[in-house]
Amino acid sequence: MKKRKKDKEKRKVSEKICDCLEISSDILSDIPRFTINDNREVQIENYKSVIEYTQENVRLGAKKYEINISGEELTIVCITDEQIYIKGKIAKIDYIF
Amino acid sequence: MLFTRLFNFFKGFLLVCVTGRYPERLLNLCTKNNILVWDIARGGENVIYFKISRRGFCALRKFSRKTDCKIHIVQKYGAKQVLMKYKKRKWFLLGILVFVLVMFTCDRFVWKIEIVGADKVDKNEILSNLKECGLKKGAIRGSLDEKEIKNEMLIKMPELSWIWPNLEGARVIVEVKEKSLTPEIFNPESYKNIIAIKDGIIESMVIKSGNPMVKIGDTVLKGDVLVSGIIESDRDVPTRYVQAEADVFARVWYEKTRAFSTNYVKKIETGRVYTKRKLNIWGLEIKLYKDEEPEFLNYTKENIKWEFSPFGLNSAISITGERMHEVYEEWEKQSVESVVADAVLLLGEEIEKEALPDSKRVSLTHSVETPDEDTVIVTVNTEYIENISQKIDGAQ
Repeated sequence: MKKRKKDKEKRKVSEKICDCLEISSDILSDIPRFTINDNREVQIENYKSVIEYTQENVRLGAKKYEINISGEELTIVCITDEQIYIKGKIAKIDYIF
Repeated sequence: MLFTRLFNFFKGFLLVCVTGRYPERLLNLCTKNNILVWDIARGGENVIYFKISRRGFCALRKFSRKTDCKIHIVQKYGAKQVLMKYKKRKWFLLGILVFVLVMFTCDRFVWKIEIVGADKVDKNEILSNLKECGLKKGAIRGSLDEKEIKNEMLIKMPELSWIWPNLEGARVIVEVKEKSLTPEIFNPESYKNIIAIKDGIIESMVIKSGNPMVKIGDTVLKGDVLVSGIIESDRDVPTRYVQAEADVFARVWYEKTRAFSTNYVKKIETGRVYTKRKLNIWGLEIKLYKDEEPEFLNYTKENIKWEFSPFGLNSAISITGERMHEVYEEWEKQSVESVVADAVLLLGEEIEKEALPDSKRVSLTHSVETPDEDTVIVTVNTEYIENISQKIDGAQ
């Protein structure tokens, strides 16, 4: 309970700094950042883990939720600790809380 | 990413198949341990394929036990594999080596020389002087010294103030700066006259300085003073001596007479041809023929030249030679009209060469005489307007 509260405070501080400086909030916090090119490519930074991978579905774990990318012929072109690069015919991106 | 892939290509990488209940866990372990995996594809239920570096694969075995997955190598990739593949194709490898060697060798030579900045000085003169200094098509770049060429060229060609050959590639760009000539300094006590260099009738005059001695319509002979450098005055002013400056245009006539025969020898080709070819590689001449002379005696020569110019670049490789066509001679009679037409053209060209440069032809007439059946005497008269003025020292 205490940790969650601490996290909440921390987030608030970082959010406040971002608001003050008028900069994007992803710079100071580790929230997922998406870069989508058409429906062909998606690059996600600050993800946590790969939960499920099939040709139709890629389910990724983030800090507070799961990201579900569905489509056809999905391939993970490159995967590192910080980012994942997915190619294919992307149909939908869902947030699962 | 590209750099990493390139690095992995040289180090070698593997296509791996992972079979297990939860292969995603293995992927997560790889990412957490900074092992790069790429080109991940699902092969079926509980099967995934991915590419991994050779070093990363060693660590993968440890994780496979943890995640209860089976790993096996599907294919090996990398520079080593490519080399192994082409090891059997020896001729292909040899071809690549020869290509690299040829490219490397070709790069050592001068293939083309370009001159930049020469407007007044003849480019061919610069090229011939450069050839004497050692810079020519086919010369080895390493043997040339820019400073030496520059110094030699400046001594050889005083009309140049600066020259620099850029020996940086197969194409050498020679930068040239021309000297601006100093104007002639006149002695104020001497004077110069303008004289006629040809006989003619004055058509027009442009006098910039000096005393005109002739007027428009006057007939002048070669050597006559047209404009004098001595200016005398009726008033009580002392005589002035100047450098006469003028352009005097006059009508000048030329006449040429010559006898021509209506019979001429016609050379008819038999179809037999003998070709002598020489291969020129960077100044080295290789004969590609056996006999010096062809089997037949009567022939006409034709020069042939073929230059190897890849992508429009002038190379130092060419084939030159002579093509000899066997002919037999036959006497033929030409009509008087065609003889006259050829003669007028020939004599007109000869007169053109005698006329002064920048002269303008006003008229061309001809007359024909036929003393006998086979002879035609053609006379060509032409009229030109020429600048007949020439500056000479007044004392002469």
